[in-house]
Amino acid sequence: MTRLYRVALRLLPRQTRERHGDQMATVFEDQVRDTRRRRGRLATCRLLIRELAALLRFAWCDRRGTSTPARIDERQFSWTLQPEQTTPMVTSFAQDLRYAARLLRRSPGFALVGIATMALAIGANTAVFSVVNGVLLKALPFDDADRVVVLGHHTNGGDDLDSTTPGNLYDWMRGVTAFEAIAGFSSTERIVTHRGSAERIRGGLSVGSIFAVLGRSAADGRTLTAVDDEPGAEPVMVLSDRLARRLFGEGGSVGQALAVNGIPHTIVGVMPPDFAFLDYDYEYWIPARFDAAFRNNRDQFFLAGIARLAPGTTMAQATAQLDTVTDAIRREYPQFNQNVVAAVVPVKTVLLDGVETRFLVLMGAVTFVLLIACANLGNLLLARASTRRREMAVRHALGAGHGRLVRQMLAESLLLGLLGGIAGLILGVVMLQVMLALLPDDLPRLKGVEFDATVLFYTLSVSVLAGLLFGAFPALQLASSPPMPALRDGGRGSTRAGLVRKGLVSSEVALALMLLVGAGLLVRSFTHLLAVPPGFAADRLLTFTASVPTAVYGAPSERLSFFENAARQLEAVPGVRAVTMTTTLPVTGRGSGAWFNIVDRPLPPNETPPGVPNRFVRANYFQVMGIPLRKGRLFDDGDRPGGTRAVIISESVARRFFADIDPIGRRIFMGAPDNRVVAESTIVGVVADVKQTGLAEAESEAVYIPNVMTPGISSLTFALRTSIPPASVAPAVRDVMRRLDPGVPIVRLQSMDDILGRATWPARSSMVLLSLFAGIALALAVMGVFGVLSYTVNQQTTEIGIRMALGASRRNVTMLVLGQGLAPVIVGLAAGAAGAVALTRFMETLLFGVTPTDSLTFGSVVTLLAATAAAAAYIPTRRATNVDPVRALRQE
Amino acid sequence: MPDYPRRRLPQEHLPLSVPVFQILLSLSDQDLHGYAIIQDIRARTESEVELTASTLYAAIKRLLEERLIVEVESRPGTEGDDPRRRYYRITPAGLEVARLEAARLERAVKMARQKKLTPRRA
Repeated sequence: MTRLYRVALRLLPRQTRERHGDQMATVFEDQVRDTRRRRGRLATCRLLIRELAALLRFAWCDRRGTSTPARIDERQFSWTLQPEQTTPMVTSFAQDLRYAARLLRRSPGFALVGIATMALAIGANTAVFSVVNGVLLKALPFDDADRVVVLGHHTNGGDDLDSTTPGNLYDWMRGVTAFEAIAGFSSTERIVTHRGSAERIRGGLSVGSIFAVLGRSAADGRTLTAVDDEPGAEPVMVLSDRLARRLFGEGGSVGQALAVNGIPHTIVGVMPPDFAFLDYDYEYWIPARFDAAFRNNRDQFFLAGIARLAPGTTMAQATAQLDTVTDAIRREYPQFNQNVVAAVVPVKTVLLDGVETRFLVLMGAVTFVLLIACANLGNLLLARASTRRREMAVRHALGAGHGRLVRQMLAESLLLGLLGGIAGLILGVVMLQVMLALLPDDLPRLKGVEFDATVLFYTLSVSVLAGLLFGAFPALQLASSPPMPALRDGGRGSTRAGLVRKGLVSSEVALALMLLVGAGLLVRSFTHLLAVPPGFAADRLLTFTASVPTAVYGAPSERLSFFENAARQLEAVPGVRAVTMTTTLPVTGRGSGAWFNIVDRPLPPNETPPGVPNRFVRANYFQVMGIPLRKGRLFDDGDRPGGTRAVIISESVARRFFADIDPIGRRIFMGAPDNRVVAESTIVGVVADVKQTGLAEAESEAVYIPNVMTPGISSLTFALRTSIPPASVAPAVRDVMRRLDPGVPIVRLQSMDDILGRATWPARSSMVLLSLFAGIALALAVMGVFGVLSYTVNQQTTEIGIRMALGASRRNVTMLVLGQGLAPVIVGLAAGAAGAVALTRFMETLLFGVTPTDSLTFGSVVTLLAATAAAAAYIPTRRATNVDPVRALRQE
Repeated sequence: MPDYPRRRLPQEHLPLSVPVFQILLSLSDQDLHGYAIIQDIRARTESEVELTASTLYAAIKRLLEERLIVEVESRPGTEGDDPRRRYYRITPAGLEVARLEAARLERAVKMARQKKLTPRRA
């Protein structure tokens, strides 16, 4: 309870909160403890409500800075003899609320169902909204973040944002004036040595100064400037708050030095804890310090640009300028830039790419749940209202105005909504924890998710709106029908109300159907995803990446022999059957690639060759990974320097480049003609395709090269095929690597199952969450069908009695009741199916292996809903057929 | 940041709201922390006035701004006290305001008595 109050304290302006918040929370804590001891648990709930109301008023006054000092909230509590000073309107509304509270207390069952329904729906809304608020809505932690854009290329007319070259970036820096500041960056992973222990840590390379673009300054010391990036400048670095704390403790890191890949770098600054560069987990920043020649490089596409629009310029102007400069580049260096155009994308779009749809779908889902809950409560209130027609009529006869009666109804539903909202807030805290546990932890900006004033405000408004919405049904009904006749006809429901009730059931069913279809499609996608063969044997594989510091292992042969030695020693570890190495594991990403050139099919000099991913692997890679050979042969001992220059291609590469001829024996090279990554080699084999970027992606092209041909590689990923669970081998693996050289850090020690699990996590979490909400929706809708039908049967007892007395059979009665009860369900199913067809196409990007109008999903969901609705209708129907005609007639 | 309010004359604060007057009364002879103020008021008014934490601090904030009370570091010599608690002390100006309010109420009660408006005892 105190926690909730602490959250609610965020309503206060920051200054007031910082000054008094802790004290208020302490006082509240004491008060809760005291109240519970003296007056029990229920009293503490009353205290909470009173407290929150007071807090709301305090926050309101304080934020507006109004109210005469020392005279706020005079009406906060009662001096018992204090006369009413309020206006009649407010008084009567207060009376309405008090009366509503009394009514609710008198029918605790109704109140409980109502509050629980609202709590469920509002809780789900609160939880999802907190995530949406934190991930999608909150501003990025940069100055004026809307003006920050990322620069890159679109290749071959595609939508993907690809990297650019140093040459192009420097041309943009010089030629585009629409930007106030422009810089470049690239990810790097380097070995950082501190007090003898070496770690491989991810950091960012800054071309120019990205800090000038972002408009952030350091918490301690300074950030990197463009001067630091000059070729001859001293090596310096800026640390993240986390790394600085971890290595140096509190403060004192500025001025110290760290060895980065063996070269000492002076720490010039530490960033504030909240500084995050997009969503990269960079722990340090170092200037790129490219030399003059590399600044003009045109074939290494590895940099991303980041820029700030100058005041008064638009995206369109910036894009136009960028296009002009890029056109000039293309004329000058056609070979490298022929297929690319410049791309300018707002930083938020880059960051939230792909995430937005997932959350909008979830937000839509909880909105549906809320609407269903409102329809349910609307129905409940309608039923209650018709049983209370007599009471209303009496009050009307005694002089209560029409408007007053309507207001009374609204006060009741508003109270229900608010109570449900408070319960929903508490439930929402729990649901949020569940959600956070389910969401992938690499989701952008997940750290920013919290309960703040925005979330509280949202929950409050949703509660009030929901209360007004479901209260509107009985209130409108009351307003449109004069209550007087009710006195005469003994208070039976009108046909009009019956129609409204049926309409509500239909819409509940329709909404539930749409949600269930959405969830069903995600379930189907997920099962398809799990069924995708990755192309290799994924079980019992332990993987990790080791990197040798190039300053220590200077000669390429030293690096090669370290890795080979490590592989041999790992093979001797008990439980390990075989060991192989690669530069990039399957499923983990595209990895590096280079232009693919076929020697006997040269391209015209102006044409850019297609890029293909390449992997440098140990000769036994295919055997250990379980990748089948399709044609030719695998690598053998002869494929080494001095022997054959051999490469193996994947089936998809063979299909793309050698559709008409046999690829075996063809000669290729990779890279630019004057900058070859792979020298001219012969294709000796074709192997089966392996998923490279993820299970859902088609990407499976790869050229495999024996790692012994490029001995200078300083970082390789090991894959160990084990005969026992991979995790149990991990400690021994660490031991072996530490004994070999403690200066060689290993990272990402994990099983292949972990990697695959992470690859399917986004799909899994969306599926689980949407299924959860669809389940809630189904339960609410079924309750709705059941409730309305029970009510109808009750109302019709007399009619059924007469029918049975006149000779209607049980079957007749069953058909009558079922028909009446299921008609709105059928209408709902039809409307829902139509709605689902219209809506599911927005989910297309989340689906895999199913179309948005998958007939199997639609069919099973409709069947499921129809069956549960029929089951819900069964109990009231049975009761109807058991009506004793004599008793039913006597009731009259 | 809004302009700091002009310091008022004591009589300009009148009439005081019930919580403010009660808080000043509680602090008139001792320094108290937040919850102790609430307890003191409850005890004196026999639960007729029960402040919530937010009401209390809404008043305290204004009282601090008007310099009718001040915050004191801690009260020495009290055993079992939470060091997080802050204590509040009435200022001479605060005492003056409370006195003026008491006098005002007294005048009002006197007028009521003259009109024979005495409370009925149940």
